[in-house]
Amino acid sequence: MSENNMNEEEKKVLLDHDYDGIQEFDFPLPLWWVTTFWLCSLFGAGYFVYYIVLNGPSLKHEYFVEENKVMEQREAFLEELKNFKEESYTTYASSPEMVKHGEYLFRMNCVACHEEKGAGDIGPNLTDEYWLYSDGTPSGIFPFIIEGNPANGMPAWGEFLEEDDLYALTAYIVSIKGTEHENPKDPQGEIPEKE
Amino acid sequence: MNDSNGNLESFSYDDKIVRFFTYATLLWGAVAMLLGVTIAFQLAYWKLNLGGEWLTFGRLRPLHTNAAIFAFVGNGMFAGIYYSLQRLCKARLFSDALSKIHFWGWQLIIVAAAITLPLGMTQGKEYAELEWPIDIAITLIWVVFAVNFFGTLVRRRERHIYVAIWFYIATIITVAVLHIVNSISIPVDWMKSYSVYAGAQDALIQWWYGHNAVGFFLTTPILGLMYYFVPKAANRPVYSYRLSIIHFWSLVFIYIWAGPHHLLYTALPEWLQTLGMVFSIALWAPSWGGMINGLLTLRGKWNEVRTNPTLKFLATAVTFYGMSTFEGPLLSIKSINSVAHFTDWIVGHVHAGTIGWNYMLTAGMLYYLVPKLWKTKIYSITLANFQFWTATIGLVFYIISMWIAGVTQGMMWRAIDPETGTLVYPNFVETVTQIVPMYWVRAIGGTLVLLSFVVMIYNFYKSIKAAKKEDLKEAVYQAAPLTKNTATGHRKLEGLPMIFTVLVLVSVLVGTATEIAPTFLAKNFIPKTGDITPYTPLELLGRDIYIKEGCYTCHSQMIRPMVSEKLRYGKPSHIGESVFDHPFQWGSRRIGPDLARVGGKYPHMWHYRHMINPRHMTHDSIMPNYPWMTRNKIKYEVLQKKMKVMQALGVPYTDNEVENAVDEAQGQAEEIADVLGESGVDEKIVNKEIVALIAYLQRLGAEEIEIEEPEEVE
Repeated sequence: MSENNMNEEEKKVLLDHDYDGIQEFDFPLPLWWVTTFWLCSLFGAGYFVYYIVLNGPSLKHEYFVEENKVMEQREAFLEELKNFKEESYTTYASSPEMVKHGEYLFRMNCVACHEEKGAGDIGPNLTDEYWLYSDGTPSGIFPFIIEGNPANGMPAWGEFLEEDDLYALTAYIVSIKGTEHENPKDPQGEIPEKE
Repeated sequence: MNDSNGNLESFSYDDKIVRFFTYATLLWGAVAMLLGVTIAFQLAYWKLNLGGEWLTFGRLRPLHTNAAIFAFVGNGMFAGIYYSLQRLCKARLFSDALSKIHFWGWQLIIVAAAITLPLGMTQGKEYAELEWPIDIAITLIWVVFAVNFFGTLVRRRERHIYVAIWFYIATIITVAVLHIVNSISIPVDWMKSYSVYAGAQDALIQWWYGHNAVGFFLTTPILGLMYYFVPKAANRPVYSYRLSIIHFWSLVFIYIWAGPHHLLYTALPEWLQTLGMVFSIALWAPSWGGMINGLLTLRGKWNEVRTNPTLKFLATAVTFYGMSTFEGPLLSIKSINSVAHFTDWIVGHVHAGTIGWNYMLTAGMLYYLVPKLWKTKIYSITLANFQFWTATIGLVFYIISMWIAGVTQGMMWRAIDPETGTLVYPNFVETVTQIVPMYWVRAIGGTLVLLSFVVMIYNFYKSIKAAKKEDLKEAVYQAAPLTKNTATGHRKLEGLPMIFTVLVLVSVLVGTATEIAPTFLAKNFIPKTGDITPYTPLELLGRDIYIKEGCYTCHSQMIRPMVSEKLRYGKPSHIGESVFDHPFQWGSRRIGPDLARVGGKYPHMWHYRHMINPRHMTHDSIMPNYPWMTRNKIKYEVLQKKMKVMQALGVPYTDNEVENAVDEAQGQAEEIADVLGESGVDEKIVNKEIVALIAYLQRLGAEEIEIEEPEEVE
């Protein structure tokens, strides 16, 4: 490596050493680099001392503060949602378009367990007269969809679907009552007593 | 170059072995990138899993990562180290025989990986999937490499070792420590073993390994190569010797601590997580020290960077190195990590490193080496330029699509409606469909990178073909024997490579011991709750199927303490819940949802249908079909052996339970098959893999330990 194309400053810091033709300058460490090094290290030390040595707020702490708030809100929301509003339901049930929308929602979310048109499969048949949990009336079906039955694998659909959708879905489920199927699931539950 | 007596010694260089490693680099580089492109398209279009057992994403992803790291970068590193080491030491490699054993041994290991991983033989730990006989082979070959390397150092004719060699030393020592400690396992049979570590301890050791594999397999050796090839190709002195010293030692000391940043917000004790984060931030400057020395060495040569392919690739590599070593500390900040973790942002970050830094630097090195090794000229500079731009554009596609995909999905996962306290995107699959277009962009970017690599192979093929064979005779050089070490300070240490090596070892052991020792020594590292019972025999068999299929490449089992995660998956995971998990399965990416508490969430029949075709249950799922699980039989014959190994590892199975394991397992299988039978599934399903897998999945999270609410929370 020739020194010809080096400037004066470079010649001054060139070290007297040569490895397979490779030489080294000995320029000082860039100030911004040294500053970055120390700032990062100091920040790290301070952070560790505050959060670990002095027991600053932990991730768990952060979690529980937020959790308490959100869970309360969520509970109140679902409680409110479960209130069955007769007028809303009647509006949806009397509109063929909305029932059709309910059928779409059913196909997207429910057929995996209740089979096409509610004939029943993993979940019960929704078209016969027998009911396991609700009384088969709109005001019974609606809150059940919202709460689901997580123990048996049915999600709480209140978290997935909007209020409008829940009414449309209820209207569709009521509309398929009594329809005939090639391969319906055997009845489960009881025939609810009429009031 | 006479010594005081005027003696001169003659020697030659073994460049044949460098040529061999060069061929291997080109071959495995193409294979690794082809695999990467394959799995990228599989994510964009699930049908490309092709319905076969051996080519699903879960089995090919480990093959891709192993091929890219150990086959491509590994062979490239060996070529560059063996070429530069001889010249920096003025000595031939210690032993031609050891060089050959090193070469062929390493290639055999790669072939073994390419056979066993698609067959589902895996330890289930990322980047350390290879089963124990291959692990032992890796250790042996690594020792061969080390003996060859240090033997050459002993025979050197250059008193002081150059900075490139410091980095090679750090590589050899640390990779050995990492590989051996992380891979310790007890065999069940020839191709199945269980890690001696479990749960949080395994997670910590695995990510100590995983992070430092990036540090000492993908970074330090490549920095060493940079320190040789950049000044050689630029014909300029290295910018700052003292910067070399400071950034070398700080990098080696600090890097090893940063592993727990892969486990932020997990059940790992928080002091460890915080250590991981603060050392990652402290690592920024040491990493950039290397970038500064690389780029400033090119001062006055930037006009040549435009025309000289070697310099062009090297300069770009160092730039991407700077980018990813800035992004790394950024991602390790807890609040940023809470969005980015488990998303594609991390995948993009990794590829900025492997493609931007490793591939680019290897390419630059090869454009320097090929003309020298074969006494030839590069066939086409135009093709080299074409390769450069194709690779760069492909990489930019890759990084940007993964940024968008990662941030989008991370934000969708955590979105909570402020009015109702419910998730805005409760269907996990919605967050997947949203980013599938980005999977196409990434796959196209990856294809461009692969194309660029193939162009380089062609360019070298033509260059080498034009070379004359008789020119490859070894030249003889002369140099004086080793002189006395009269230097002082760090220079003196550079004349004492063995002491240097010991100091490097001490540097990496400080962080290692501080973080890992408490997991062995502290009695309360994992609180004894006694609430968790070991897996039943059938669940254990199901768990091995889960590992075999590489489910952990897409599903985590770690619910972080965040409200959005509680709403989606259930209560945050507790450190005590995975105490019997040899190995842990916390995962690193959620291409599908977390499974830590999937047990009991769906009926058996749901899982049965879902495994045969996930789209039966989730319309837009991108998960492959696993129909062979309804055909492959459960392997009861190894069950007792497996339980005995678990017993030896401290899982409290009684001898009686081991004795009756098969009956017990078959009993549980019958219960599950009966339930499936009610929905019309043939009773022959009872001895098929899917039943064991269902048993395992239904068990996940069935036993809960609550994380404790700190007192100060109101």
